[in-house]
Amino acid sequence: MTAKPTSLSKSRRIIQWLAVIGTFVIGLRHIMPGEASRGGSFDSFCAFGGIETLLPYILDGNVLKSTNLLNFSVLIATLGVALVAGRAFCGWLCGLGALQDFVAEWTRKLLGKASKTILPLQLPASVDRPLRYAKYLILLWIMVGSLFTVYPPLRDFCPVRAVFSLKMTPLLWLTLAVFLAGSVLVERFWCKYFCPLGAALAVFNKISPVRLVSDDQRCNNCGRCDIECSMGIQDVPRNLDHPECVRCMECLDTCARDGSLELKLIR
Amino acid sequence: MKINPHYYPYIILTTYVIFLLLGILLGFGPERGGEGGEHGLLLAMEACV
Repeated sequence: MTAKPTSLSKSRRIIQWLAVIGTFVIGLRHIMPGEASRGGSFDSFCAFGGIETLLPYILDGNVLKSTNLLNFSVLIATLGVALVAGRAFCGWLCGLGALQDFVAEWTRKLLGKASKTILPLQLPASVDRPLRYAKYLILLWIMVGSLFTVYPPLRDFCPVRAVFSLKMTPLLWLTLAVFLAGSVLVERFWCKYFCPLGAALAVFNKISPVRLVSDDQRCNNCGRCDIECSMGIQDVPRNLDHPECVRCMECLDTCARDGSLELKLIR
Repeated sequence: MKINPHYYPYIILTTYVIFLLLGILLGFGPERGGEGGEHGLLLAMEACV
């Protein structure tokens, strides 16, 4: 067995930090005077804003207030990544996803060895499984709701705004509190249960050509990948195209058997 | 075809940038004012027709 030269996990952390800092800078820019003259509100840099304003744009020719045409470019970029590598945007480029990973990591460090028996919580399957469908319902509700609203339907309680926009309302404070508490208790709480952008990207895991492939002959079912999976996917080697997978590659990074999991371009 | 996992971050970042530029080239660029404008697909199609 040869040692792996560098860790994908480290590369991911660097990119995630850049995503968080980048989103924070957009938030800072948002609270500075003259925002309107600089070409776009905070919301206009959001990929999901493109989904929220898509139907009004197609049907009426207008985008919702606080969004703008730039939302479509960010959405196209996100869909482009999804077409190539599935939900890799969620695992690598999303500032909110990154923050949840950081919160989980900090919680583990804070609690030390005891954390493994306390946090993160593993919700019982009877709760976890139906709750995972909530994000699809939220996506549907937002798509329909966008036809009847002036502002994007998620705007008032969007966790991205709550964390990064720096223009807080009582509802956003509440969202922030729920988001942080949820992230401490359950790994990738928002991604697992409520993120409508993740719901929209989930289907791409089934069709994206860049994906992990498992070799059953080499896998010894040690379960290390199951433990590392922040999305709580069970039996990872046989569920590599699972809609919940955020393509973080932690399973590949943790796998001790060379060739058991491989990154491939499937044609 | 096997891909070296160390290229994975570059694949993601490059794809994101390429598609972002594509979106901007298609005309979905930032607008002054930050609020919605009347530049819809239907209006664009009408203009073409």
